[in-house]
Amino acid sequence: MRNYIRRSFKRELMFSFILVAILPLLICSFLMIQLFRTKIELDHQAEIAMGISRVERSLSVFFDKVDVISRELNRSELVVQTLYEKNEENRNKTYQALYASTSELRRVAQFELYSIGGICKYSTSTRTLNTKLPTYSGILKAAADQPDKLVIRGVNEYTSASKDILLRAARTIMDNAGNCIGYIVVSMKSADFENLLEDTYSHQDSIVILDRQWHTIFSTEPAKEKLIGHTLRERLMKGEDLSDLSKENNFHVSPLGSTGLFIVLQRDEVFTTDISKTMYSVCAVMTLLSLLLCIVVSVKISNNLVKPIHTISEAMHEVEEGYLDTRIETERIDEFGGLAMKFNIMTGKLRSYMERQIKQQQELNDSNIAMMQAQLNPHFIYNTLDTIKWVAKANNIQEISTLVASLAKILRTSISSGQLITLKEELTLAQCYVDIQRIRFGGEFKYTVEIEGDIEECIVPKLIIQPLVENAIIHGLAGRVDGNININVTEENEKLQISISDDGCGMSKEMMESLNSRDIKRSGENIGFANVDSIIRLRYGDEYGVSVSAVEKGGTKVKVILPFIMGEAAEYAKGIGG
Amino acid sequence: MKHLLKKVSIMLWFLIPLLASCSSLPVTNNDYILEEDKKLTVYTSHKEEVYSPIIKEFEERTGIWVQVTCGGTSEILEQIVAESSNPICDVMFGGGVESLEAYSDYFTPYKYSQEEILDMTYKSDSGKWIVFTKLPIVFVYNNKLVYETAAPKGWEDLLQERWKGKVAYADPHKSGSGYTILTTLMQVMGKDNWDTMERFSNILDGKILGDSSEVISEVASGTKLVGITLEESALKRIASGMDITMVYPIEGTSAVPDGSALILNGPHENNAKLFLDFVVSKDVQRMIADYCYRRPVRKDISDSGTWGEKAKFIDYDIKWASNNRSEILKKWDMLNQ
Repeated sequence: MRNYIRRSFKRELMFSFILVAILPLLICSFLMIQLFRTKIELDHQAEIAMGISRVERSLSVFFDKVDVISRELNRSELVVQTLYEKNEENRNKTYQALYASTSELRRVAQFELYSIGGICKYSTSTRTLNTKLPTYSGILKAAADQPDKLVIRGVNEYTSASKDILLRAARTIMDNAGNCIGYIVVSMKSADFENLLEDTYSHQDSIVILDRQWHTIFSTEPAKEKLIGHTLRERLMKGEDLSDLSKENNFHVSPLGSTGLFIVLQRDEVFTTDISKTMYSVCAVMTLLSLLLCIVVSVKISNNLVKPIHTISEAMHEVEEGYLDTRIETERIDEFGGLAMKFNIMTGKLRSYMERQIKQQQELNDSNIAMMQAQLNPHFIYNTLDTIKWVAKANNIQEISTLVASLAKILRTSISSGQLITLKEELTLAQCYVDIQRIRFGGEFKYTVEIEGDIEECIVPKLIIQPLVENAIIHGLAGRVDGNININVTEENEKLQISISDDGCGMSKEMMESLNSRDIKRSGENIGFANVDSIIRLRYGDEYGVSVSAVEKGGTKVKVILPFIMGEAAEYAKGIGG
Repeated sequence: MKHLLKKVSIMLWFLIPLLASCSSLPVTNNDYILEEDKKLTVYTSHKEEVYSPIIKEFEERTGIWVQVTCGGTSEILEQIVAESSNPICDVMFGGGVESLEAYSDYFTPYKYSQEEILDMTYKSDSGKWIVFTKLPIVFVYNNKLVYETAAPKGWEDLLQERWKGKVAYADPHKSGSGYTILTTLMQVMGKDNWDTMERFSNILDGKILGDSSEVISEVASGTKLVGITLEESALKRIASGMDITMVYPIEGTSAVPDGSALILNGPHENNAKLFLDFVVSKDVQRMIADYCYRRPVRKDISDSGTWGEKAKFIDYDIKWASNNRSEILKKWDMLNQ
């Protein structure tokens, strides 16, 4: 994967874009949703807690009041008397008392006085008047079992009179002797609960009031539809935990003081799975959009980047193939435009350089051809010279024979293509030259060669002694009939030292300095001297070369210093000579 | 860069569970747990209006939570059979004693401590069920359509040709009371007298009701003139203002009780025993006598109250009725194809 991405600039770019664009988006939206949800849930819990405390307060206040009122009525002489006697006057008074003390609460409950036999004698509602409740079971029995206590119970009775009544609270009425003489009963219907709990809960809440065994006493319409009380009781009966149910449905159960009742408040979660689904799908769409955008932009940018690189790469390939005419056409003015321009300049220069090279090669070839054309067959010349020699010998013309033989030798050596020859060959060449010059000028100068040991086989550049000998004959011994030219060859410290001395007219001091300073321009006619010096220096370096000095008795001494080279170089020279 | 990525990912790992944990705030509802010894499971074939105040009173007095499952007698008994390897139910409350006898294998014998005070006319030999109330079989007729003088006086009277197609009666296959009526008729007219069944079938004229509750409705609406049903149902409907009259057959009628039973290996045996005692206690028997038009099985509660004229009761043979059930029903089917 990683390699796959890294193999393409476009993919790298796209991947980076996606990473930069999508990851923060995803993290951000996830965090936002979670935070949002947490916040809403916290609020929700707080609201539920508040709602339940409101309901709780209103119910507790109500039951406290009922407790107080029933206690007051219990203590009332009038009530006790009324229940004993059947007196019409007292009846009205009792009713007045009952209505007076319950004025505040009649809107939310009905109050009844039951005789000891369980007959309803007084009631703030007409329906229950003169109906009967069993005293051996139910609420009256419970009240009788716990005298002086307000007993609260959900209603589940056989009597048809109690059909709509959901909850009863009862207290026994005692006479002075402590005998039970009747009951005060408070009954609540569904409408009473609604009145009592009015404004304590919002319309989206479901309120359920449960009795000790979690039978539903009262529930609001939505709670009835959702069967909340029933569901809770079923769960508890099955021994199941309520926690997951309460998390799903967000309800809260709270016991209602000492009444033994329970209040359940349920409110639908605001942040439902639907909402979170919607939020997540919005996020998904956003992610998709930005993904699309990333792809489009990265393709665009990478094209913008990669395309000129491709162009340049292709152009380079063409240049590689030898098409120096290649030019990059671009209208861009950014770095790529600059690069393309530089490339164009480069290929242009390369092209002109190549053209120049070709031209030079052409010229070189032309001169070689000319040279080849200029060369005569040397064998023809040698043979001709040989023929001249033999003709001279036949005609006994010794001088011609000597001249031609020497000339032939000189020619052979100087025309041979090798640059190096043995010292022996060079000395022979000089000897031949001397022979010719002796005949030419008819001079009787002496030419001697002194050579130490067997260093004749060492290698020297061609034609280094002959020009110096020529100088010595033409300039040193100029105009003289006799004279000595001595060549002395020694070897010392791997250096071959050849000195050519004459006892001629010598050389002017300026001339000598000029030669030693190697100023070729000033050396004037002594071109031979300068050439030898140049050849040696170019070949072996500045520590070698030619120097000139005066001889005390008169004359000039030219000293040539060369490296002493023997061995295979000799063979090399032979090879060239052959 | 890599370092940074690592840091961020570590941060995220910490942040995500933190956020997730925020969403599951502690709920205080976890404290409500019901202990096993405070539970009781009751299967009942009684109607809700009958059992519900009894259960309520039981819960209030004992603090035990009762889980009630109700349904038809045979349906509930079959469920008990199905669950017998791992019983859920503790008490079978209701159902004719013939039916309870038939399923006695799934019950445990239980003896009420004050048995002598109960009417033991019908009692279980094995002690596997206790009677709850007595349910006499009666006739009802529509006051508007039948003259009092012309109303059927007894079983023989009912089998006269003039009632052909006019008698409301529930299928003995489906209704427990329907079967009891059929066997009562046969016992009154002589057990081996299969003619009686044929005559009865002839009178019904193939018009047999599916449910016992339809009997009185059919009579009240005038579709049928006479119905055979339980005293309890008749009294209740009369009290609710229906213009019908109840007749105890002169030859005598049966008063087959319904009962309750302790389930074998039920999970809350102690609570179940408390409940069995409770339903035959004086208070409950008074309640059902006072409000449910049923005849209590306690001798210390008078048969007065809501009862009408004194009725004559035959000594109904439960064993014969339950042992010959399939044979009787087979014959019945042959006659009523």
